[in-house]
Amino acid sequence: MTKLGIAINLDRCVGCHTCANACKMSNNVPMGMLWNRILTEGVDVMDGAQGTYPNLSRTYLPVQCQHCENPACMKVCPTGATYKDDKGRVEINYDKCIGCRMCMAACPYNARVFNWSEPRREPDFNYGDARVPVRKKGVAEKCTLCKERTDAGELPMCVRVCPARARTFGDLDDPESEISRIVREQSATQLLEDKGTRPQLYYFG
Amino acid sequence: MELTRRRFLAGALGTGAVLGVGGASGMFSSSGWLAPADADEPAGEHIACTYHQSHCGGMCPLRCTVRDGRLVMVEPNHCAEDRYETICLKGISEVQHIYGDHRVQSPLKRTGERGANEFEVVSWDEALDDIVARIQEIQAADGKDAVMVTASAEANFPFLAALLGAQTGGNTGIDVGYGNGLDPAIGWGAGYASATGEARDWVNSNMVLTMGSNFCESSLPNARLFFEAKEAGTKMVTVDPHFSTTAGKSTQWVPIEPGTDAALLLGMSSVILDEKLYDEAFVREHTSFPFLVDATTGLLVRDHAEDPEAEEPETGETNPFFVWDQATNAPVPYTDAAANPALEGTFEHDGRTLTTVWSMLLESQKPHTAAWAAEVTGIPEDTIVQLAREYAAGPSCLAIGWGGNDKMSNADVAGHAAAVLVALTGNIGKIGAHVGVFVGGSYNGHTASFGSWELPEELAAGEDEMAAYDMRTKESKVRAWICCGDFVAQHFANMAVTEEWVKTLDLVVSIDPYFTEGAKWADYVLPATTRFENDAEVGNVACGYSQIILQEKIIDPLFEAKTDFWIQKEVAKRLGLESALPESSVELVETMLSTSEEEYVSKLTIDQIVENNGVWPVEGYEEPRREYTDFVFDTTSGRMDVYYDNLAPYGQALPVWEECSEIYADNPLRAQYPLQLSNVRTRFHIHNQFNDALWIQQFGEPFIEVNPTEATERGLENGDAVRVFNDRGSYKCRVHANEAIRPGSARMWEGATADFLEEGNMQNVTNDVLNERGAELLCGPVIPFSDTLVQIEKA
Repeated sequence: MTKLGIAINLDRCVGCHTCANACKMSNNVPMGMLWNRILTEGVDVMDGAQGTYPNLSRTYLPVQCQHCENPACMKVCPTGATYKDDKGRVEINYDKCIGCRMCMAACPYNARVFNWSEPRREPDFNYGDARVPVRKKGVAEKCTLCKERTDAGELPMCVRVCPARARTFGDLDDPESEISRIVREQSATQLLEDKGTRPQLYYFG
Repeated sequence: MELTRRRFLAGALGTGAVLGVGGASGMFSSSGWLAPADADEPAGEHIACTYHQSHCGGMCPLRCTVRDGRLVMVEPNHCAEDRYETICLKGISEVQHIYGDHRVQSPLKRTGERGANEFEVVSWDEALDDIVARIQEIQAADGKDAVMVTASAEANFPFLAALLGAQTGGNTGIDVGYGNGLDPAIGWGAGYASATGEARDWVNSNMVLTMGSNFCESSLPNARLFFEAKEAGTKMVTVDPHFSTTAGKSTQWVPIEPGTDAALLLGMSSVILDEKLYDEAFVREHTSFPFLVDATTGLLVRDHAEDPEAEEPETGETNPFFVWDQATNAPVPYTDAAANPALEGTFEHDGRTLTTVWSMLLESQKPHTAAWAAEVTGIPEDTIVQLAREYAAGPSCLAIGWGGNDKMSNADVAGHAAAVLVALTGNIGKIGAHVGVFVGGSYNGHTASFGSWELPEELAAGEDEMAAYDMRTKESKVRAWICCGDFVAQHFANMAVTEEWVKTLDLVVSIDPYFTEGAKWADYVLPATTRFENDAEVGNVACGYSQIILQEKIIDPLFEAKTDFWIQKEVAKRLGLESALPESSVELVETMLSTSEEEYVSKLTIDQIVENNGVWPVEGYEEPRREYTDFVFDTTSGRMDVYYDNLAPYGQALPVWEECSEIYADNPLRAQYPLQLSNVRTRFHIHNQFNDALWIQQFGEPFIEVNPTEATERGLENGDAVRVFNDRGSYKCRVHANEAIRPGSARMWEGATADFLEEGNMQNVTNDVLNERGAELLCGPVIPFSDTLVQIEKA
């Protein structure tokens, strides 16, 4: 079997949002939405710091769909629009999505966004990868692990562009893969492990 | 792991400022242009390559996808090695930004008072005819140099000043603070303190000591080099008043009182002298420390007096410096290989008292103890001692920046103190040991040199009578000013003074793809193309991070924008000088390649580079760049010349601590204006560029940051609008309370202009008082933008 995932080195993440913008571009994500966001952990301002000056620390936390093995979103989807594909990715069949947003309420990672109205794009044309389907008003969307790119053997765009090379993409089912080695050797962790969702996004460093 | 689920995006997206440019707002809508493509537009996709902005030093090689004539994707290009395949959020934001509503769409002519921001659309012919006619009128009356052409880093106007015989603005006063003090000792850096080696070599250092640089933001595309070094075991230490992104990623953060870098460096040198941690062989053989100084005049002893009329200064060979030969007990030329020079000592000779630079250093360093430095910098003495020991052990890099103490009035003293520290320890010219600013691959990597298009001899830029910043307060000949880029709001501090001067000019022209703050002060605003638009297949060739990069045509010019080349050509036509310029930008690029002094560059053709994805590796790129590995420096003596006798009248022949001009601790002005305001680089902008990019704005627009204690004291909540003010002026923006900010200070992204703030320009408050020593410095005085005190209050 194939189980695709990403491991993110938090020591290397400089919180630059390049992954977020590259994802927006490649996947034709409308204004007001991102599939991939960088949080500054534990504070309420971007680039803030935890502690009291000068005893400070800072962690940037990139958050996107965690492509869970046990996806909370899929369980609540009444139409089967959200599904786990043969490469272990969580995907959405936009034609089946009825816009009930049960998935958004269920996702503990706040990874999904919703087209409340007609998508507004700046610039006002479809940019990005021509292979990516255009979504309509009334459907949920999120990181697809760049399905169209990875099916063609390319890296997900967030991995390709990361200036600090903090991201490693690969097959978690292949023990020889770089991502499997990282998960084994770097005590990589998952977000909200207690939720039992078993994410395929790993964080280390 | 804890996951904080803030509604980050929802908040950020809700606070977007309303765009719009006063009277001209109707012309800034992109809606008409972004309607469906013309029916005759060829369908389908193609790929073309260019490079991104130069002023971050990135010049990322970009691979662009065009669909139906529109830019739809920007990706890193394919290069010789992964490390050169760079991009950042700004490059990607261009997919929106080049179509954004701050693009100037047509030539505009001022209709109201200058600065009132009222314009009407005119044709290119009307604009250029009138501009050239008015220039000719001014030049007929007051001479060719009554016109000034200034061009910013992104603009490409190599011919314009020469065509007009115009002045070009002289010294810039920006990014030359540290370099003024450091570069004369080495002969490298051109006043910008460019590093003597490449950041790629940090993996071979034991320590990288960063001061006043936020590498992980301001050299974002190269951030991987920082981590390669850190993971290889290099101790990454960052000295910064604020817990910057780079500080947060470092092995050690050393918080420092703003404007006191020099004190830390001087204190470290004292530890190195006291503990004899210096590299004595390097000091004796490769520095001017053994040279003799006349104790009365403070001048270095030379063979003979220099001819003040001489065009070129004499070399150390033709007019040697002297050392005290211990064998003969007499001064001898330092070039005398048989001599046994004394490092320390004061000697009577021929009725003169001579002393070595080393002995003078021991004297000048006496007050600069580690304990004293601890007092001034706020850094514990133990830490200063630890830093000195680790730096001296080497190999170490001293990584300085343009965004910290560089923007203070005492920056040259810090640069000079850095030169002394390097000279003492020999941390230069070795694997893993370099000094300078390491940011920006195009500044930091290997370079290829290009030839140029030769103009007829009679076409040359005029002589600069003074720096443009001085024209604000001194009489100058200039009556017409052509700004290729935003100079009014970007290049000078204390904007009210700049505005008063601009009002007195007879003609002001802004040429820029975007409607900048400076454009509001122009009589004509001309729309230039971005790096993505071209009327020819190739627009330019440049050198990025160890790669030759071609600017291919990605899309046709948008709106009525024209290339910089076309604009120069049209001006030349009107001056009857068209034949002096190349036929096209393609001919220009062909000439730049074929006339290169480097053989492999001269043999390269445009087609070869195009076939190689528009990039070509610079020869020798495989090894990190390392200068002065033979320890022969580009100075008069060929050694590190640490003694600046031209500064003897100012007591700065060797670096001596000097307070900042405004932010010094005991300034009574602090009672009224207690916060020092740092203008810093950010990953989100390059100076004023990308303020208007919607894909950047989704993360935030310019705000001022203060420590939460300062916010609480003033009754301020996160996101409140505040008024930032001092005696020079004020502006309004949002405030963030951030623990990363040093109490007593405030921090703000530089280049914040009125269209992106609640009200006014950040430059309204910045300090424009120049150091009186400035005229003696390599690049003239630095503008002390961050040597600024302000107060903030709820707006």
